[in-house]
Amino acid sequence: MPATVAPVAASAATAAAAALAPGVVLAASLAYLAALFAIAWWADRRAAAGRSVIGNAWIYALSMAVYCTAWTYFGSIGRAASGGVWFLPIYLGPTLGMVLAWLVLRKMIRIARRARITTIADFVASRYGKSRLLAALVTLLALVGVVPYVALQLKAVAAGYELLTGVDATSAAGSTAHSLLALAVALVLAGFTIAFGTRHLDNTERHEGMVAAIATESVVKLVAFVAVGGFVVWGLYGGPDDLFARALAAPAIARVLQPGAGGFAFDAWFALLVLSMLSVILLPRQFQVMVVENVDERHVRRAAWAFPAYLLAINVFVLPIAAGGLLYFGKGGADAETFVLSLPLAGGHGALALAAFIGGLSAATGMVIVEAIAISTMVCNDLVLPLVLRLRRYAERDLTGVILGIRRTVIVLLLLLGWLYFRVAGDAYALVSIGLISFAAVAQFAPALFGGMYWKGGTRDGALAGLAAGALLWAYTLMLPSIAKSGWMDAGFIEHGLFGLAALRPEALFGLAGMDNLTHALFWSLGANAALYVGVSLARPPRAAEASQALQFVDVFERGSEGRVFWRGTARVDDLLTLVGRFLGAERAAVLFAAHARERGLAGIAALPADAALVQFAETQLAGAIGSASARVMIASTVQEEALDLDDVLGIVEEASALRHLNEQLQSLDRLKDDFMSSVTHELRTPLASIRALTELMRDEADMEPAQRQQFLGIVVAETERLSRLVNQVLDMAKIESGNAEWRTGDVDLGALVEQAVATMSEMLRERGAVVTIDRPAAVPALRADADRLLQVLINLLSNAAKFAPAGRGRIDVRLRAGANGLTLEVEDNGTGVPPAQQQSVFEKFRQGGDARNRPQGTGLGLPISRRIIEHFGGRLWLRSESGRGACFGFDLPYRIEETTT
Amino acid sequence: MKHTLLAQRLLALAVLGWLVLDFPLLGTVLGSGDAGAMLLGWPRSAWLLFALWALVIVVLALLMERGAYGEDGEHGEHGERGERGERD
Repeated sequence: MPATVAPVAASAATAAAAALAPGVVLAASLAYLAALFAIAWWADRRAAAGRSVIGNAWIYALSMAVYCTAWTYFGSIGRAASGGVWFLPIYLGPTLGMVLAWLVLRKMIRIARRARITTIADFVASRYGKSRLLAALVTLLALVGVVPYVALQLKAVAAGYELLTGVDATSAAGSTAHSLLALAVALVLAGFTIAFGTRHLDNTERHEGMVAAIATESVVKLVAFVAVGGFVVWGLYGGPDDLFARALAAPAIARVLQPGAGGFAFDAWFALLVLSMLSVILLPRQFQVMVVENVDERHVRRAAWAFPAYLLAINVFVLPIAAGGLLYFGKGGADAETFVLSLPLAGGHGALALAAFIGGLSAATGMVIVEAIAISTMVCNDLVLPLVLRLRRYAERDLTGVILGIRRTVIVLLLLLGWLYFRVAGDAYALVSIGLISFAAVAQFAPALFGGMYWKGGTRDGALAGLAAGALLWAYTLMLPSIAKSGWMDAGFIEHGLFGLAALRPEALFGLAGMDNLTHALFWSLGANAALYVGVSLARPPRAAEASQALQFVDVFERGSEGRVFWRGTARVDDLLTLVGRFLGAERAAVLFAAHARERGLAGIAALPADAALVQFAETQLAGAIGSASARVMIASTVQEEALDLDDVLGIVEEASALRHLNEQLQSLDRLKDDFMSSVTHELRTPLASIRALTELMRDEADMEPAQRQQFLGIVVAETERLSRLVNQVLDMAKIESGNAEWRTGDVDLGALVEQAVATMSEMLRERGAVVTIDRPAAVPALRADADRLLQVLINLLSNAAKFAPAGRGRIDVRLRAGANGLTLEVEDNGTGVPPAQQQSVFEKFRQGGDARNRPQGTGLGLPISRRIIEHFGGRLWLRSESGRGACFGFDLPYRIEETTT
Repeated sequence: MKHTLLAQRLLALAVLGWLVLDFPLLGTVLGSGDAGAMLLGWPRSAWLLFALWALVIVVLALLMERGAYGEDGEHGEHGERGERGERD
């Protein structure tokens, strides 16, 4: 059973068994609205005091439930009464969408926060080079699309009130009263919205009080709806078994409850899933609560499942109430959309009926308030302000009051438009069908918005073309037929097509028939939209402004992306301060600029440089108040800019990433330095501790054996030598590393140097009982190097070999070979060798070989210094070893070197 | 975007959700069985639809809540310092 836009039998008053006094209903409604207002006022106060009440994920999830409007509350039951499970895809779609919230919604929140984006029109326009035209188009479509939705709320509240108070809306007098009542509802809600949302101007467009009130409303409507459901199932009937058994016994109702029986329109089901999945984030009010009012990205985690769980909870009783109503009143006996009121009323529970009405009122007001605030911000920033700013008499003025005035006017106008639509088309349509027209309108934002978040190639022209085509097709295939079918214009074009051309029939465009009209409209509008978006975007490469914004959107999660500023030119701090002051108030602007200065570590506004970062900051603040497109124009008129081209943009990105890279390198160097310092201190402490212990011992024990004393003094001297060796080597290392070491380069005969080194070490080698063999050619070509430094390396290698060779039976083989390009020297011992895991780390500072118990004396700096020396002369120091079979250290040195600076 | 394990799991759940809540698998839930089939006092089709829906929500909740403290590596950057133990 497809989601056709079908007229509804409008007889609401048949169940007026026990009507309530109008005064009671009015008083309860106003008291409820006043209570909501009190909550909002309290939450605003708390926010101002820095103790926010909305800073948790549950409140965030509840505020998302502003998705459930009078459509859910009244319309779903009407839908279920005629189509069984067909009320459900509107809630399954958002569930499927929220599965991806952590990926998609979080990205939107991050983008919006960084650029101070406050509306969905601004989001789209900002992505495509802050285009005013695009912002205006999105705003216009959102405005036109949302009007039927507002009308739906007015219709539901008015119908509910009439049912409760027993007014017969079908008579001539009743009809006038009906529309006047809806007008009154519209004006009261407008007043409320103004009070909620536009009491003062805030450059983040966040409304803590409103969010608190919306979250409360979500609880109220859920509780009221579930209460009615419980009453129907267990009060009117004997539980679900009884209710459904009886319903299925009636063939007319059983047919409704078994949707699969008569074939299932899966194309329509799919269309509704897609439509609702998109709407849950693209409707202006959803964007407002989910993106703009989000206080912490991490709240998305819980809200992602809690919000779908709320949707499930509020839908559990839809089918029972629908079945119960059909059973109770008989099919066609009462308007199914008001079963939630008429059933308790018929059951004699006036209080429950009143509570149910308050729940419905809650659902309607929540939607109207948030939607009107979001739309008024868009219309003000993107339609009206661009015109106002052109007027000379506003050229230099403080505009905060003007902006608030515009927004308030827009709120009133939106509700009046909603009322007008209600007058024109409202009575001929089911609530759900009206809502779906709005869904299809905002779904047109999808290609440009989501495409822009993940594809850098999308351009302004592509977005404009796609949106325009989508909007036109939406209007022609869905909006116009809805008006025509209500009798306000000639419906002939639906039957015969525009100009009598059959191909242009709006509900079977180009002969595409066999779908219900919603699926048909969605296919054409969204299909043409996406195709043109991609196709026109591909026609030319993005311009600089588009490319820079594309980077800010698509790569928002990349590290370092927040630091990029795509601006070049000259500016003055005073000009920027004055400009921001015009839109945010001079006092607030001064506070913001001072905070910005502090953030940059500067004393105050006077110390701020008029650089690109400041211009960016000012533009972002302005964007929060008047939208990014207008902010761009205002900034451009205040400062002198250089036009950037695509290469400049890419250059800035590279620069930023190079800077980031440098910064990371510095940080890692810093860390190395810390490690080095702690190692040095550790190495110094060990000999110092032993010197101190021994000298104290000798001081305190006057009658120490001379031999003992002599032994201790020997250790003290050795430790002192080790200390000075360590200090020398640390200094040596530091010199080499900083490039301050002195190198005396000359001709070096490495063969002679080897002999000299072995001779120098002969005493130590004999002590260790090691035998050295030298295997070298009689003569080798001379090297250009520093003989003293090379001797230092050779001695280091020999002493390492001597230390690790087994005491008393050590063998050390020294080999020198002349190759085509250079000399190779190897020093091999027959010790335990170096295990593979340590072969790399022995060249690091303070990493000595061997295990902790039998490690020979040494500083742990010998090999690192040797490696630096060899590398300085263009060579390489290496190690070849198998554990247990000795170690062979060696180096290669080229004859000719290109001196490196290490 | 970094395709962390969590991101991949969410994408997989989205695909799975579409499979069970849309054509053609939904057809086997809604279209089969005799018209009067009941399950625990509710029409069988409605019961199954809500059960599948709840299943998607529960799996989503498990995925979201389990990694609530930066398990996916996008929040906390685990420090590299202090990992290099002193071996000498």
